Amino acid sequence: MSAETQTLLRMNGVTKVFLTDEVETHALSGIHLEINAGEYVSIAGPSGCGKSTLLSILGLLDSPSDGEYLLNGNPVQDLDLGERARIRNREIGFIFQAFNLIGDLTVFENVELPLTYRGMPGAERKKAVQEALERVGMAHRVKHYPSQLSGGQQQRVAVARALVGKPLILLADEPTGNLDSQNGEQVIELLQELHRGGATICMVTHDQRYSKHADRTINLFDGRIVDEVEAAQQSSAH
Amino acid sequence: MLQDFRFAIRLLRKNPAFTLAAAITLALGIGANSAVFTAVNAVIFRPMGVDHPEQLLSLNLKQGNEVPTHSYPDYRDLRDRNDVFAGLAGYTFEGISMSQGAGNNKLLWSYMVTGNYFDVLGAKPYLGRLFHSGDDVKKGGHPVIVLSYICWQNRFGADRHVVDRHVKVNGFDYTIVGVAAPEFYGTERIYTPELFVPMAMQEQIEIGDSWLEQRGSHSTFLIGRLKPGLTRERAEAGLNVIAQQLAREYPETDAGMKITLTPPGLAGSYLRGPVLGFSGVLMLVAGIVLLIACVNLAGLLLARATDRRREIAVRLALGASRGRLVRQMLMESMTLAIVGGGAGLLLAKWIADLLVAWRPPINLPVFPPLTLDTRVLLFSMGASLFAGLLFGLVPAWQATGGDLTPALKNMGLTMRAGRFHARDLLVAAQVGLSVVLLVGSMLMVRSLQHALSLNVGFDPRHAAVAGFDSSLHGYDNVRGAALEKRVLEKVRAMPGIDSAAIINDLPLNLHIQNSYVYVEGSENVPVSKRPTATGYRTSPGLFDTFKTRLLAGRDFDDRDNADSKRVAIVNEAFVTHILHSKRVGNSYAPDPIGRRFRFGTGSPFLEIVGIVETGKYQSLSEAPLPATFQPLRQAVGSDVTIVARSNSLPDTEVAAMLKRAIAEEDPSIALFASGTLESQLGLALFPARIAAGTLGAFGLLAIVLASTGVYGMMAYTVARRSREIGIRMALGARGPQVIRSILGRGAMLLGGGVAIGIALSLVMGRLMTAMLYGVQALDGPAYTAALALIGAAAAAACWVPARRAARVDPMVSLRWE
Ligand SMILES: Nc1ncnc2c1ncn2[C@@H]1O[C@H](COP(=O)(O)OP(=O)(O)O)[C@@H](O)[C@H]1O
Ligand SMILES: [Mg+2]
Repeated sequence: MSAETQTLLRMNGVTKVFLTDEVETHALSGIHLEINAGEYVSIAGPSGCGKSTLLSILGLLDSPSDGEYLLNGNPVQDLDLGERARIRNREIGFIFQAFNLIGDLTVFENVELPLTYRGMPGAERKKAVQEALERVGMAHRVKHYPSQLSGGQQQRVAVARALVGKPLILLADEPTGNLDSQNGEQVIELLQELHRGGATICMVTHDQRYSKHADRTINLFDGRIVDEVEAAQQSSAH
Repeated sequence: MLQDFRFAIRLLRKNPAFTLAAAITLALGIGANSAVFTAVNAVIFRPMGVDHPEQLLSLNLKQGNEVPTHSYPDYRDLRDRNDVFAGLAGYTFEGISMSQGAGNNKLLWSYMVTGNYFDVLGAKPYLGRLFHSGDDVKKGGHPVIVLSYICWQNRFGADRHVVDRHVKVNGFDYTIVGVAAPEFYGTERIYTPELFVPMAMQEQIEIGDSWLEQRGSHSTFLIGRLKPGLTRERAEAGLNVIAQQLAREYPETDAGMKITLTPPGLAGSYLRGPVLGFSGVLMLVAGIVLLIACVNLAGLLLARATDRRREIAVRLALGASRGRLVRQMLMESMTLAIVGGGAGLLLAKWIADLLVAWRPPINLPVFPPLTLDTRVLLFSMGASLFAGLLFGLVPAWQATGGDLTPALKNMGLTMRAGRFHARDLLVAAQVGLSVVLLVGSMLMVRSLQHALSLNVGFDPRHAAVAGFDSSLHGYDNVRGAALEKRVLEKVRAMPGIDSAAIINDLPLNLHIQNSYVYVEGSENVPVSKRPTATGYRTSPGLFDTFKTRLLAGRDFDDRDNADSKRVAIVNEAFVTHILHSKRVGNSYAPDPIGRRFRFGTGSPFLEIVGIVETGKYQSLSEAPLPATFQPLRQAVGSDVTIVARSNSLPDTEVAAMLKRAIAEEDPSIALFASGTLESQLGLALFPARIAAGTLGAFGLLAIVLASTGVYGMMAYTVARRSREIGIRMALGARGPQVIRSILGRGAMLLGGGVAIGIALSLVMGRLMTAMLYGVQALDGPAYTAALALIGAAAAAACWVPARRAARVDPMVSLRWE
């Protein structure tokens, strides 16, 4: 790692415990994690091991039960709801397995949404949305509703929505999980392309084919990080 | 079919909360309608216990104003000369005192009827016999009475041996000859008399006032049975031939006389318009409430149908026909309708019992028995099934239509709500209707408020009254006058009483006595143009006690007695309308004081000695009416009302003191009109109170139903769109932004509903003007209050869903199942 690489986010001893019906689920235990600007990190592990939970905490959708989380050098684990919403809106871009586009809004309106919440003026918004849709190759479908698109197209729109606000990091939770392999491949290629353009990406996947593209793969098991594999080692392992 | 029914029951039992909410909503709607219909049924549709009611007609007399009453001599001539009726009977109401033992007098309301009355109607006795022509031949010669069924039950303990028993009526001996059938209580629907007396006994029933031979005294209601095959028009024409003969024969009293025929039961044409109008308004209002309830139910079912879309899609995919599914869902709503309708009927029964138990604060038996007869049952059933269809069909149709694949696919897409959901539009309509009802009830409340503060020409506060009629207890004129004088002196001497006086009957108390006025010098005005004035008899000091302003001249004093010059005090309306004097500064020109008038060419002239301010006499909404006041001892009549005022004692205490003073003089005397002066205004305020009360209740019901509708819509929206809320939050939306995007459209719809409601209210306000006292149809405060109420209710209904929306946990709502 070069001296200029900057640590974008850091987790120190993050723990997450869910309490349901008096049953304690330790979804995450003692997570130490660093992600640098421009890095492409993949998180892998069996179902139920805590990948989504980790991503939610990274994306400030949820807060840790214990431990410290620094985003861009600032501790964010104890912020209030409004502050967290502001950071989600400006610094985080989410891509979900289930696309999660809003059915009542057009492609354009869906992508525009984060900018609207930011209070950006209309003309500026329009330009940014157009740009984002061009980057994902969906600029020709602005007036369509999500239900009129294929799954792959929907996910590309979701990617555009995630990157339109120029966030610090893109968080993707099994973005290919609902797609056939061809469409899945295309979305992964899109993410790689964004990565080459300088984007920081953290993607959850349990598909070996996709994690190999990452700079680094973090393997989770039962809420703990069991090992981290750099891309070089990965390719050598093959 | 049976299978559908079983499935419906199973579904309803599986969702007890839904079923309960739906049943309660429907019960409120059906209950309100059934209760209103029960009342409307009693005053409009109930059979009167007579034969072929469709052949019966009431006669109205038109000589200037149309009135439902005729003179008894005219009745005799109409009866004997007409060839359009198989029979023509007459009747009138009067209060009497009855006692079964010594001294125990009770005041009750009677019907005086012509001998042929029961035979013309075809009414049947329950016990003994009813009257026949032979019971009404010789004046004063037929001391017999027929009891109404209710009187027999309440006052005679349903004694089967009551026939041939003797009672005292106004102090005279009478024999009970029979009891009328339960369903028969005379020929006016909103008056329930306790007994019937032959017309020939008039002088014993109305002591000191014999009008049987006076062609100018219009006291008798007439009801005739059409000969078979005759139309109303033909009958009217036939009667008017006789009217013209009478006008020629008796120009003095009958000039210009015309007869019109109307269905019987509501005082000819007199109450018919108002009663039908108000009934119509009530039915309309109740219908709107039912509509609102149906909207709620449709909303509930629609929400459920949406949740069941997958089930329905699967059924459709398996090859069920749309018709079959609609039928199955309709079966569910019909089952609900029956359950809710049954509960509604129980509610209506309860309301009717409450109304019967609540005696209106007026001195007349105006409430007919309210029974839930088959007509009411049929109405409720029909309304329930209609409601079931109404709220069942739309959701069933909508749920089974449309494209199958999205429902089956159910991708991670949030549900597409479409631009406007049918249900949301319904809720907007509901809010609009509630605005209409609320504005209506607010207008009525405002008029009531206004009516309560209206200047009625006397001050009803801090005063009490007690009325009695000594002639009903065996007193002659002289002894009666002495009794009144003793009572008055006793009251005036009581500590705390500031003043006391006597008036024959209180203004605004339905006892309306209008007489033609013959002003000296202009006595040859034709009957149809002759002015009338309402007349009172008063003791000295009445205006002082009433706090009625004396504008000119003097009050009566003790020298105005039976032997002195005949004098009168008139009100300002009399001066301006009849004498055509103008007010100039503090006096009138030409000066009315000293001018003379009389009530008939045969009666003595009265000299005007004073002028008082104009009050309200017949109704609060009347235009200024001329009124005359005569000294107690210079006019006929034996009924008196003692009025006492005290600024130091509570007026209920004053009322009790009055009662005591009268009882001390003669304990056997039965009182009417006893209580505070304010309470005696009950009759005048009755229509406004009823209207404000019922409309207020309906307005409240509407707002409750509409709030639950709004709540349902908003809560459902939040529940259905929780995933979308989660997405928006993940993208950085804050609480208020989420609420705006999720509930904003609903709020917009509500705003639209309110706007439509205001527009409809403006129309309704115009229709209501006749019912409003001193309040404009476009009354600012009424609109403001209604809108504030609906706004507060809607805001409250949105509050919980909005908070729930702001608190959606994106972690939970976004979890991929
Ligand atoms: N909101 C929650 N409430 C309770 N338990 C949860 C919740 N979210 C996740 N879990 C539990 O935490 C563990 C990790 O879940 P998750 O992070 O979704 O796993 P993964 O994404 O790796 O499949 C699981 O055992 C899951 O049941
Ligand atoms: Mg997961």
